[in-house]
Amino acid sequence: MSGITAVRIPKWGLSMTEGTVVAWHKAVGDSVTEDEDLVDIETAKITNVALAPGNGVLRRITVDLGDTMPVGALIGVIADAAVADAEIETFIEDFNARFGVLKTEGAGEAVFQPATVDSRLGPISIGQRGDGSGDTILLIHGFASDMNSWGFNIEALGEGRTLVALDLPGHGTSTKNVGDGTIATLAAAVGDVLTRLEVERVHLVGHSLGAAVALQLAELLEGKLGEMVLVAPAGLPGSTVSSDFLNGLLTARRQRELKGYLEMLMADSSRVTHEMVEDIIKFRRVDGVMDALGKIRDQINSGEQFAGLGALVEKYRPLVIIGEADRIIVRDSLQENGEVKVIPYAGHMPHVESPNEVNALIVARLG
Amino acid sequence: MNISTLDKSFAMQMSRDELLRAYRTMIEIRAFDERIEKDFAAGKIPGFGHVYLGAEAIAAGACHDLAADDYIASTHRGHGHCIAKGCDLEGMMLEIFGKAGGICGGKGGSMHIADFDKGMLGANAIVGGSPPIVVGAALNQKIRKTGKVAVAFAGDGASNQGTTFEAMNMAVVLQVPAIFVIENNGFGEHTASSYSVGAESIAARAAAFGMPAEQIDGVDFFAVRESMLKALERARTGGGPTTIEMKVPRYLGHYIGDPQAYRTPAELKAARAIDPLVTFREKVVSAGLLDAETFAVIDLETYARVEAAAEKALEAPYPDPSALERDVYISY
Amino acid sequence: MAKKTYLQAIAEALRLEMRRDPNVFLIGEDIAGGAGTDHRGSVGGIFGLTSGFIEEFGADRVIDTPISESAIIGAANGAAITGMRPVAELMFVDFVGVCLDQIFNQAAKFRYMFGGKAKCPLVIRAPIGGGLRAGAQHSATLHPLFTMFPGLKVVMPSNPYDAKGLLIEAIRNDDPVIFLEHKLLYGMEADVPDEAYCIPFGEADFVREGDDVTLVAFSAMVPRAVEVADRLEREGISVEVIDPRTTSPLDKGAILESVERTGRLVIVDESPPRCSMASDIAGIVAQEGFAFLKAPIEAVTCPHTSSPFSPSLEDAYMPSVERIEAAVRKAHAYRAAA
Repeated sequence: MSGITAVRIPKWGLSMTEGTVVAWHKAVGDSVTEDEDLVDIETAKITNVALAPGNGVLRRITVDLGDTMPVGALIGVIADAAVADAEIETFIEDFNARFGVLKTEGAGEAVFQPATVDSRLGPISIGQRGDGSGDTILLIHGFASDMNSWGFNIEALGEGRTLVALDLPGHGTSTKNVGDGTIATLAAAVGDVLTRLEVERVHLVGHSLGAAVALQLAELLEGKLGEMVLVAPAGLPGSTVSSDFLNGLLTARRQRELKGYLEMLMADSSRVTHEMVEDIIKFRRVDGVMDALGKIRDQINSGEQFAGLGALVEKYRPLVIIGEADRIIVRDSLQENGEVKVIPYAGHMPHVESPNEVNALIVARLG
Repeated sequence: MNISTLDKSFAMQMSRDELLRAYRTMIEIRAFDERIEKDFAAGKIPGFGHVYLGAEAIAAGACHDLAADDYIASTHRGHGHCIAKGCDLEGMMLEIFGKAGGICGGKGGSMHIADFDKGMLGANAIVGGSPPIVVGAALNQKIRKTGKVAVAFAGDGASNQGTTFEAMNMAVVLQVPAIFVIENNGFGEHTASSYSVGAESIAARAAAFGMPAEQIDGVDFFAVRESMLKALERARTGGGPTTIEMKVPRYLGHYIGDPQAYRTPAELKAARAIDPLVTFREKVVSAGLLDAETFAVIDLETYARVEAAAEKALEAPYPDPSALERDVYISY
Repeated sequence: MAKKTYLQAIAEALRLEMRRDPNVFLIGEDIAGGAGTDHRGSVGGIFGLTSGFIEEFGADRVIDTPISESAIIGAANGAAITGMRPVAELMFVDFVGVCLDQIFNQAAKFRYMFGGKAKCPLVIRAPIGGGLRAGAQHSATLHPLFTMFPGLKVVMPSNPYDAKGLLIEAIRNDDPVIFLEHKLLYGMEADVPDEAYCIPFGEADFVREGDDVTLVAFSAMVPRAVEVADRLEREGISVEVIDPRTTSPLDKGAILESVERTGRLVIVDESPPRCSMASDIAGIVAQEGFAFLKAPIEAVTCPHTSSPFSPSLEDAYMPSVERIEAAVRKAHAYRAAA
């Protein structure tokens, strides 16, 4: 059946199982170009816009606004104007008949596999996509976050590569042992993971604290390093991390109070959901987490952690992507060395707030 | 009924120091509670008081061979057990007077004295309150394989409480190193135990639960100690619980100030005539182990110490008001 | 992280803590079951919660007892004050009558009356609540009774995630804790992390955030409160649902802060009305938050009767979604803002 493309609920994030259709950017009968904004999908964690999977005319919308469907389910059909209605109907019937069987594999060819890898600090949780062939791209999240924060980037960045995302020590479901809590120690543990995975060549993408970890990690990689992309990096010369935010994240007691701090992360504070707040509160309660985060925070607040990062940026010349409205990291000056891309209307989480733009920049850099 | 009597040779198995230690405990209890009774009657002590007078041999004999990490729990009439287990006299005096510096900070009073460092898990104002707790303490000793024991002191009144029956059965079922010492002084509050205990023997009831039990003369320190040593040996070697019913007189009423309209003057006089301290002294002196002079000196010394502690307690300040809301919880 | 039931979450909490701390042990009736027969461990608790425990931890730490609540709780007290961390089970909270002395006169008072020297890290677990047609002597909640006693902490989880975190906290807490598990919630499923975590006492959960009416609920009443809030949300009435999680200590700060914003308070309490959490919280807010109130406080409770057996009667007895909704609407409509 040529010229017919299914519009489906995408999979954003490892834990996403369903999405709610909240708004269409196009009406039935409109012409649609591949990768343009097509439909807003709301998940438990966030609302984001799904891109058109192909060119043509939006011929059918098969669900109502507010309908919640499982990941991979059909919500619309794009086809050339020339395709007959009867063909469209058959396509829809066939798809839905198959979907009952294919539900779990609906969203993408490669599946994100969880695993545990040993490191000097203890077991590290990772998620891997791809069969290990080709280059590896490693995603390193930021303070108090975990690998799920890369949910909107996994598919795009993993295309044609092996993609690995991990939970840093002290985070997610990895060991809560952070040693002395320094970035060097965290980087060494990540290095252990790469060694065990027998990675030959790796591209590093780090966010915030994870960016600082990526820079230190590069020093340990001895020629295995490919490209490096730093998203809203912490600790570069001319920038300060808001200690107010770091402390508030750990000390805020009530949900409302914590929400106030999380809202600092995004340019559009309305994107912080109840679930996001709950996730952090629940994470903080896990045995060992407060100790681990406290150690890391204390190291960051001590001011010594970032001393050598400027030199490393000069050496490795990473792509730096920052949000124009970042309230967590205040920058007096943008580093002149290397490429810096500013994402308008984004705060400290441009990879979540404007994933399509960020994904495109990273893919372009990786070549 | 099996009432064992003193064998002179048993007394001769105790060293001079041991005999002195035993007597000191008893005279301390006697002097202490006589003083408490006096001060209560004079209105200097608040609340309720219950004195141990007449039963000194039980506390001293039962606790003589216990260490600090053997546990005991007691009754509302607990001063004797506290002293025998090593609680500080001054601290007890301050506590009973409700003053700051008391063993429980003035928060407990006569009926709630406890000192966990000495293995004294508390005097308990609830009749039958201690036996279940002692089963738990004994369970602890068993699980941790310490080779130590837990002793519950209870009266003939408590022997009628369901909690005591449950505790005895539980102790047998779980085979814990517990010893139930039933101090039968013939009265549960203002009712004679000849009325309130339906059976002939409290020990026989305990035996019916499946543990060894005997009835002995609680006025005789040596009889008490002998039966206790058997129970300790059994408990320490995994043989489970024992009950010992010990008969003693109750010199005074249920509480200090009880007019005891239910006892005749002749009965009271007869009760007073049975004196465990006299019994001890006579036996030890006639066996040639210690002389009367030694006892007299100890008596004087002890009364003087108790007097000093009482004077101190009278002068001592009451607890700071901030103590009122403290120690409801450990974490807030 | 996996989907687990409330019952499984509680079992997981017990298992994790028993593995971590050798001083933790279980004591109660039929915790393993079959004692004295060749089928020891064949029951695993009246609701199957402790299934597999005696096999893993042994008879020294999973102790079946005769039916002797005073001795059970008393023994737990004795073990606790001498250094162990017992988790005692009362098969149904209704049986507290036969061991109440050991709870309110002993456990609750040790620390205070012994001048701050005693430590009683006891946990008593008890199933509570109606809805199972179990009759008058197997359906009570009795949380107001325990809440009344200084020295006790009283916990009422409303979902599996909370149940696990609150029980781990209860076991690690050095004060005596009464942990009340609602029978209707045993089958409730939710995502529960595999790791150990603690939820502190005295910290309320804002299950739904809203601006128009504050709705406070406990235990099995929380899902009902949430159902009402979600229904009314579609009509534009924004209801804030607060689950205090613990009645003692009570997070009254959360309730007052919410009422300050909404001005309207409804409390749902599965208890007869006199001396209930509904009257307790209403009193607190009337005394400390009078200026915030725009409408009279509404309480949705059981009537002043025992639990009836017949299904139609029991359904009328327990606060229903309909009664809760009516109360919220009433509070919302009273001198409503233009």
